[in-house]
Amino acid sequence: MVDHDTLIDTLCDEAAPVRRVAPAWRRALGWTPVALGVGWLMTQLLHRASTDWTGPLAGVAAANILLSLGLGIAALMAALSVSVPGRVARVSGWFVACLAMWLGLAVYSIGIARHPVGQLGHGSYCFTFVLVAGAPMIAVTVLALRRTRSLHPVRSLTFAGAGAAFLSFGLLAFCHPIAMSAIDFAGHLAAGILLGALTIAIGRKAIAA
Amino acid sequence: MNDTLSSEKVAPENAAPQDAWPALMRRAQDGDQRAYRLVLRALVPVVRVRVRRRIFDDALAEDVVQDVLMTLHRLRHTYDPALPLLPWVSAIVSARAVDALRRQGRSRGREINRDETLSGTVDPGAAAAFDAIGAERELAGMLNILPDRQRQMIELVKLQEMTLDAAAQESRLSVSAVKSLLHRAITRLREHGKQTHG
Repeated sequence: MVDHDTLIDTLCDEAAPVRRVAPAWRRALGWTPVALGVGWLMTQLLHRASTDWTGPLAGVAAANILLSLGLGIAALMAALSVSVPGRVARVSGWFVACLAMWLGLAVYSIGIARHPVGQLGHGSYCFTFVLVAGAPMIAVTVLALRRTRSLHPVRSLTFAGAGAAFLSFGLLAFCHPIAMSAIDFAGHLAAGILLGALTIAIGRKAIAA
Repeated sequence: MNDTLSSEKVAPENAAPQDAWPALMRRAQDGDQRAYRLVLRALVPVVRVRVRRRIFDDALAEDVVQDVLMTLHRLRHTYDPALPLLPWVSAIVSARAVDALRRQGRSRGREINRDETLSGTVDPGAAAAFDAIGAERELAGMLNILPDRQRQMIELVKLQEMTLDAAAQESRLSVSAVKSLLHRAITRLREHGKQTHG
């Protein structure tokens, strides 16, 4: 049996006081405005048409924004939570309900579109918008995760990528018509998945414990 | 923090009880090196047991214990003292053990365990030495099939390269007797060779 006392002595000799990590929900609420802020700044580079808030379906747009931001914050909270050893991200009932409602709104938006299926290339603007808004959010989430690092980087970054994607969807909903085609929605999802993959690729080594 | 305390050893019988670990870790987070030493020493046997549940190789298991200690040190700010310490430690142990097994699996896939190649790399003359030892063993095996006198003649004339006169003198036989013994020995070896190698 190996004696680890020398290592323990070395570790103890260099043990300076450390600042304990705040709860995940508090950290998520702190980092979300930063992520939304840099995402919003980046989208200023793109042409933006404002959502029609005077129309009869403005409530749908508002609900979409609230759900997207809520899901984004929840995903970011899960990312920060699973990055702490011994913590798990519990998918609670309200999270599943919000996700189902978000999907339901998407289906409703497709249903009221003049051309529900759409045409190829229809969602290219939204695709670009989500990527442009989400790219700096990736950096923000990786920065947030570097505080704790993670024993399971891919798991943490998957949640972080989902968080960046939903926050981007939230920003997109401020400048998107309420009706959308299925191809447009597929473009949103493709951009979200790409953001997730980029988050994992960029952050994997940066946050590994 | 405290030099006199930092160098003192903690005997196993003085190991901190488990219910004191969260408080000790809280003090360790605040920079109390003595508390940190106590909790780390108390954790070593627990970590070792948990590592050995997954890793059966002793040397690798001890490497993982060290790795766990270093990870505990790097991530000590992530521990919440309001919660029990063991789930936090177990998560680190589990991750580090899995990492070690993955690394071992990857290196096994790349490594070729050939003793001859290894010895050749360490000592370029080793291959020749191994060949000589092999030939010697084969020769010894072949000579064992000969009667004593015939084997002696082969050893004197063929292996020690004596002349026939010298071999006759050494064995106190006539030169013609030596020649006869040699001839019979070689014939017998040839027959044996045909039988064994076709």
